[in-house]
Amino acid sequence: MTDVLDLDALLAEAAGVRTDPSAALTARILADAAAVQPPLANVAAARPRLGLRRWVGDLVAGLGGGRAVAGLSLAGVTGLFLGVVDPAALQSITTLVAGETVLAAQMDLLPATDILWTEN
Amino acid sequence: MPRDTLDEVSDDTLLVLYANGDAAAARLLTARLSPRVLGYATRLLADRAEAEDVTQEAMLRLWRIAPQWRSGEAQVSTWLYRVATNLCTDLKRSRRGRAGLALDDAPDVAASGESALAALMQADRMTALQRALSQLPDRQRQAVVLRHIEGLANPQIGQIMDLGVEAVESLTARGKRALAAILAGRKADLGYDDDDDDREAVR
Repeated sequence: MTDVLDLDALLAEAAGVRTDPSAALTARILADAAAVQPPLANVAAARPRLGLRRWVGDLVAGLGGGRAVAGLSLAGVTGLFLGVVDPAALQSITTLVAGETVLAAQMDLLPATDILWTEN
Repeated sequence: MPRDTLDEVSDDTLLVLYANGDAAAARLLTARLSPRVLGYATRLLADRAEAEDVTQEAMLRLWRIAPQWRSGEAQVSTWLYRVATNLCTDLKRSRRGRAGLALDDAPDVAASGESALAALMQADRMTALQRALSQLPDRQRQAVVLRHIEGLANPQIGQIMDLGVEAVESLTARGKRALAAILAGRKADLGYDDDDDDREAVR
């Protein structure tokens, strides 16, 4: 047991010996650190966005990213175009849905709810 | 950030601060970590100049990894010990075959606060220990130094050496037994009295 404790004491003594780097080594290490340190400009670019930009960014992310927002925008613009222009080519689809020849602008696509209010 | 505020900041946070352009963080990390890497590398290589090169290279790799460092995933010191271990292993491989290397470079012993004689005796003990460590197989030497001189826990050593905890325990125990056997014949170098049978230093 004494043998083990003596070896432990020797190792503990070694553990207490601090190995200080020379001034030259420290200077070399710090020069390396300065040479490869990322520039502050990158840090500014990585700062969190604030205000309107952040709100817009969160909205775009919530809708599924830039591509999803682009698709939604295109669908919206197309719908608006069809509604305003009312092309003749769509009349056949209107006839198919309505069963008779009516103008698309006159179609009532929402079902009537009067039946829900009548009492038996 | 003021230096006295940084003193209480973890290595992890300091590395993030360094990556964000804080030069004081680099100075503090160097002061904290480079003595540990240098001491470890000196004990593995027994060559101060090579150990200094390893320390500089390991720290350089730390600076380079800083922008990608993921806080909380690993301890900076563990990562650095692992890099230093690999660098030392590569160096030892590359110098294999070269003859006449002096393997006596023990870490310096400071004489402050001690008598010159006591400092000399301690220096002798450290040199004897270094010579004995140099005779151990590489893996045993790494395990013994990390556990008993650097004071790391077995799981941490396992991460550094890519081993399980039981394998670390086994390696450390075998290394320590081998070290004791080597030092048994060097009691005079260690400052122990050969004639005192009741106080054998090591067997």
